[in-house]
Amino acid sequence: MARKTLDTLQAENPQGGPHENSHDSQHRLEARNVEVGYGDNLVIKGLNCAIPPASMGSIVGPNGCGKSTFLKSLARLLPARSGQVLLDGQAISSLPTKRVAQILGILPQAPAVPEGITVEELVSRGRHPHHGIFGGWNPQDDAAVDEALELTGMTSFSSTEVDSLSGGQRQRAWIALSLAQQTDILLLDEPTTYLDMTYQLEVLDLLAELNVARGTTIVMVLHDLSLAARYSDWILAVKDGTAAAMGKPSEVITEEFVRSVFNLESHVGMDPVTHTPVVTPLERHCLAAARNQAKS
Amino acid sequence: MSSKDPATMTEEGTASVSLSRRRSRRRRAVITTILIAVAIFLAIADVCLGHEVYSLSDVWSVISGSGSGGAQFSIGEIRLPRALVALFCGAGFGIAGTSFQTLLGNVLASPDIIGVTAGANLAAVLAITVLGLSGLALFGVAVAGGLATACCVLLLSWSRGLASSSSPTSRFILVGIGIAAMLNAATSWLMVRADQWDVQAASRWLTGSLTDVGWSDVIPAVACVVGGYLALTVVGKSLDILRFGTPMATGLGVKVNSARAGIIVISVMILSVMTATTGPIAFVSFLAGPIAVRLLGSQKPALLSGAAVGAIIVLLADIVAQHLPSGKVPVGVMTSLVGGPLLVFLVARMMRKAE
Repeated sequence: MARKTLDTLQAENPQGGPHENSHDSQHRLEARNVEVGYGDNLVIKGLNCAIPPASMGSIVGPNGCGKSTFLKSLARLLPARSGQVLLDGQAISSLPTKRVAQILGILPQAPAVPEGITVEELVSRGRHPHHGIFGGWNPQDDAAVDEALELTGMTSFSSTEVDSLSGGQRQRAWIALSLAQQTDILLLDEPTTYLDMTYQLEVLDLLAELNVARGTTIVMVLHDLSLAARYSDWILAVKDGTAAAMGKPSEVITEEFVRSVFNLESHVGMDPVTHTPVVTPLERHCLAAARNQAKS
Repeated sequence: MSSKDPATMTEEGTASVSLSRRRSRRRRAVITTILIAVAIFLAIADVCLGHEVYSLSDVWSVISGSGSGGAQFSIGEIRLPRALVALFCGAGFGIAGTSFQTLLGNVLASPDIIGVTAGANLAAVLAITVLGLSGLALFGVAVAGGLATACCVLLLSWSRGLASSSSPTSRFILVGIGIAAMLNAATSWLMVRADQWDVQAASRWLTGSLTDVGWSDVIPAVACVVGGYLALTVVGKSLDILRFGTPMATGLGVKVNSARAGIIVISVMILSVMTATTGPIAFVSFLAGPIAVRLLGSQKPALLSGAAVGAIIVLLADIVAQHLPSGKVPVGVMTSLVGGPLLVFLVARMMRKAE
C-alpha cells in the first residue's frame, strides 16, 4: 500500500488544503504548580512545566510516578486540585471544552471500542469538535479522515471492524482518529504500547513527521528512555509526583539520572546512528560479581 | 496495481473510502425509512383489523368525520386512539431503551431490566390508588419515580465513576434487576390492597396493556415522544461519542457529566410517561435496541430505528394478542413471551463471557 508522507501532502496542497495550520503551532500549554489526585491519594504534587510550542517531547518516569496522571491533567481529563493548567494563558478548565478540543487532542490509553464499529467510522469521530450541534458532515471532514487513514497506513482497513484488528493496527486506528481531529497540540498516553519494534518506530516517525511538517506540538508518555531520547526535543522526568528533570535528552539522560529516577544502574552511551543517548541497564548479577571482585 | 504510480493509487483509495462512507450512510437511511413505514403500516392494520374488519375508506371517512355510527364509535373512540398509543408508546419505549443501552454500552442495561420502568410503574400505581391523581400530576409522579430509581441504581453500583463500555457493567445490571424485583413486588402489594380492585386495571399495571386507553392518553404520549426524541437528537452526537469512554469523549470536547445526565433524564421522562399511559409493556425497551442494531449495524446510535422497532413490536403484539383463539390477552404478555427467553439467553452469554 502506497503511503503519502506529509511532505507530499503539503506539496499537493500549497494553499493549505484540508489543514490550514501548516504553520508552527502557536498555542502554548503550561502547567503551574499543578496538584492532581484520586480520592485521598495525591499523585501529582506541585508540578511546573511549560511545553515549548511546536516541539516534540516525552514525559518519562517509573511506573506509578504519575506521568500518565500529569498528561491527563494537561488534557483536562482530570481537574487540578490546586494550581492551573493554562492554554494560551487561560485556565483550561474555564475554556469551552469543544474549543479546547479543536486545539488540543488527547489519545488516552486503551480507549473503549464500541462493538462492531469500523476503522473509518472510528476515525471520523475525530471530526466531532469541528461540528456544531446541528452541523453536518462536509467535504472537509472527508478529506481530513481520508488523510488520517492514509498517513497511518489504514486506508485498506477502513471497512474492517476495529475489534478484529491486531494491537498494532488498532493503535494506528486510534492515532488516525487523533490526526483527523487536526489539533495543533497532540497528547498521547503511551502510544507505543502493544506495538512491536517496527511499529513503534513507525508511529514515532509519523508523529515526528507531523511535528516537522505541520509544527504540531507533540507530548507523549513513553516507557522506553532510548526511544524517548531519540525522538524528543525535550524530556520531562517525573518522580513521586514532582518534576525530577526537564531539558534536552542529551542533558537530562545520564547514568546519575537513571539511578536517581529509576533506581537502576546503567550505562548511558551515544547511539552511533542518531547521536542521542542510549540507556543500557547493567546486568544485576554482573554488578554483584564486580562488587565482590572489588571487595576481595 | 503495480503499474500505476502511487499518487493515482491513493486517490482511488480515497475516493472509494468516501464512497463506502456515503453508501453506508444511505443504507442506514433506507433501512430506517423502511422500519418507519412498516410501523405506520402496522398502525393502520391495527385500526382496520379486529372483531369487525373495516376497510381503509371506512377508516378515512371516520377521520374526516363522515363515518357511520358504529364505525364512528369503534374506530374513532377505540381503535384509533389505541393504535396511536401503541405506535407512540412503542416508539417511546424503543427510544428510551436504545439510549440507555447505548449510553451504558450493554444491551442488558435497558431501563425495563434495571428497574427504571418498575420505579415509574410503582409511582404511577401509588399516585392512582393512594393519592387519586390523574393527568399531568400522574405523569409528574411517574417521572419522579423513574428518575429516583435510576439514581438509586446508579449510586448503588457506583465504583470509580460510571463504567465505560470496556469495564464490567454486570454489577450495575445485577443491582438493577434486584431493585426491579423489589419494586414490582411493591406494585403487586399495592394492587392487592387497592380499594377498587379491578382485574383489568390490575393487569394493566402488572403487565402493560392497551385495553382502556383513550384520546386523553394520546396527546401526552405523542408530545412526550416527539419532544423527547428532538431533545435527544440535540445531545445525540454526545451519546455517540460517549460510547468511546469518558477520557476519549472528554478529549473530543463532550461535557461528559452533563451530557450523561441530560440523556438519562430525557430517556427516563419518555419512559415514565409511556409507563403511566399503558403500564409497563414488558421487554419492549430491551428488545428494540438490539434488533435495530442488528439491522443497521452499530456504527452510530440507532435511536430513530429503535423507536420504529419498538412501535413495530408493540403493534405486532397487539394485533396478535387481539386475535388469539383463546381470547384477548394483554399486550405485555405477548412481548414477555419473546423478551423473556432472549433475556435469559443474553444473561447466560454475559456470564459465560465474564468467566
